[in-house]
Order: sequence, then C-alpha cells, then structure tokens
Amino acid sequence: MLLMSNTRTNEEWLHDLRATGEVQESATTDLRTFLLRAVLYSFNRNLGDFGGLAHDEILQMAEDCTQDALIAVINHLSDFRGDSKFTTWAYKFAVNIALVTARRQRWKGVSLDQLSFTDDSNLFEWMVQDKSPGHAPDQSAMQGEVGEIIREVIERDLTEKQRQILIMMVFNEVPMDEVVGRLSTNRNAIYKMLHDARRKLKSGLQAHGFEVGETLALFSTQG
Amino acid sequence: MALRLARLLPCSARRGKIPASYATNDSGVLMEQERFESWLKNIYQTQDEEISCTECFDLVSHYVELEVSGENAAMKMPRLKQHLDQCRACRDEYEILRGLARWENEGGTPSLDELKDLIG
Repeated sequence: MLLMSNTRTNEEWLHDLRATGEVQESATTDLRTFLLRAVLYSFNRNLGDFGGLAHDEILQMAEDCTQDALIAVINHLSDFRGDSKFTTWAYKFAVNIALVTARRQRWKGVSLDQLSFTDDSNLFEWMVQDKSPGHAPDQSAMQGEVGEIIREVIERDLTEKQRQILIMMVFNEVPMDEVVGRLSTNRNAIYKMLHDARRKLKSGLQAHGFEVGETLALFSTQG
Repeated sequence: MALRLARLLPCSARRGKIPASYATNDSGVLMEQERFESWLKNIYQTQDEEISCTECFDLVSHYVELEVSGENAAMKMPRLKQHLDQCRACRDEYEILRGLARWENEGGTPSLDELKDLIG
C-alpha cells in the first residue's frame, strides 16, 4: 500500500531538481508522482464538483493539474525556505491548483449575475428570525436589532464592490476562486475587501453597544 | 431554523443556472442560523491587520508540519490560524494539505492506482 518513501532530503530535492541530465530527470519524475498523488487526493475529497464527468476525463484533468503544479514548483524553488519537508511545501501547489480546478468545474456555466446584487436598497429587505415558541420577546427584538444594524452597514457603509462580494461569498457561498475568475482580480484583493467589510460590520455592531459575548449568545444554536 | 436575512433578485435551480446546492428559493436567500452564528463570530474575530492569502500560502506548509508533529501550531502562528478561520478557500486547502501530511507521517499513503480507482 505504501506508494514510495521520500528518500531525498530537502537539500537533495533542491540539488537534483536544479541539476541537469538524468539526475534532474529522475527528480522531476519523482516530484511529478508526489504531485499527482496530491492532486488525486484533493479530487477524491471534492468528487461532487465533477458530477457528470467520466472517470477518464477526471483523470485527464488530474494529469493537467499535475503538470501545472510541476511548473509552479520548479518556478518557485527559490522560495523554499526549508521550514517544512520539501514534499509538504510542493504539495500545496498541487492542492491549490486541484481545488481551483474542481471549483471551476462545479461552477462552469453558472451565471453569477443574479447572485451579485449591487444596488437599489429597495430590493434589499431584511426579515427577523421567525418568532418560535420559547423565544423571549426581548431576545427576538434584539436579534432584529442586530439584523437591522448589519443591514444598515451593508447598505450604507460598504462600497458597491464590497457589498457585491460579500453577498456573493457570504450569502450565496460562491467560492473565492470563482469570484476571482469572474471579476478578473486576485485572492488578496477579494480577501481585503471582505476584511474591510468585516471591520465595518464589527464597528457598526460595537457602536450600537452589541459586544461579542452577548451578541453571540442571542443567536447561539447551542441552546 | 432558517434565519431569513436578505431578499435578493429571485433565482433558482429551476432556471438551470445554479447548482442545486447553491439554489435560493423564489423568495430570496436563506442563511441557516448556524451559519449566521459562524459568520457573526468571524465578524467579531476580525483584526485590524490580517495576513493575506499569499502570506498564508507561504506559511501553511510549516503550520501543517507543526500540527502533524504534535506542536501547538495555532499558538505559535496565531495570525495564520486567524486567516484560516476567516478564509474558506485557504482553509479548504490547508485541511487537504494536513490530511496528506498526516498520511505520510503515519506511513500509510495509498498508491496512485488506488487513488485513481477511488475517482468516479
């Protein structure tokens, strides 16, 4: 069952991949095997993203991802600092590429237009939680107040782009890499926009006296 | 229990544009209370300065190996932990990387043929 042991030290990996001839060829072949394993492992944990694809098609995508990962690793060899095993460091390129590919497959052909509400606050209605038996009236009222504050911040304080991305990713759970691809941007930019949105939401809640402990208790699903 | 928070332009799986697992109903988006609670926690855990996805990618292999070796990675690298708590994309990758590293550490990784057989 054991695939292969990593017989190279970190230094040997770097040396062999930077060498020439058979030494480099052997290291590249071995690295490729490690990366393919990481890609297949990643795909296995996200098989739902490949619904409708034949087994051979998925395997071909795995091979393509592996090739892309190999190129990425070779191009970033100088970034390796030795604070992990070389294979662990290399795996993350394969995992990243594999997951981006899986998400892209799942969302292929899906229009995000109707998931990226950007404007017209009259289309943005908030409703409070259903008042079920057992809920104290003041608890429901406070929940409603929290919801109102959040609505206000989203409508009034976020930029249009922040609002668009927040609604796509938080409410509609569109994966980040889909948003990146559709908006022709990058992960860091998206993360920063979400971060800025969270900061404004946090400030808004705290400005109205809703601190963390009591607010989380209002909505706790733990009872 | 569903916490109804927003009403957007209606869209549904019946229009054939969204995978069923992401469909909204005709009245709008529903966010389950558990997910809302999780989002609220994320809001309150927001720091003024947070590391980027690039920085996370750079550090995550070290973080994973600290964990696999039994060290308290979250305590040693709190800013990375915080980013993983906030960023679903990075967290998904981290969890797979951790799975791979644990497997290797335990010496029981499957062969390529076994992994291929598990697909589709």
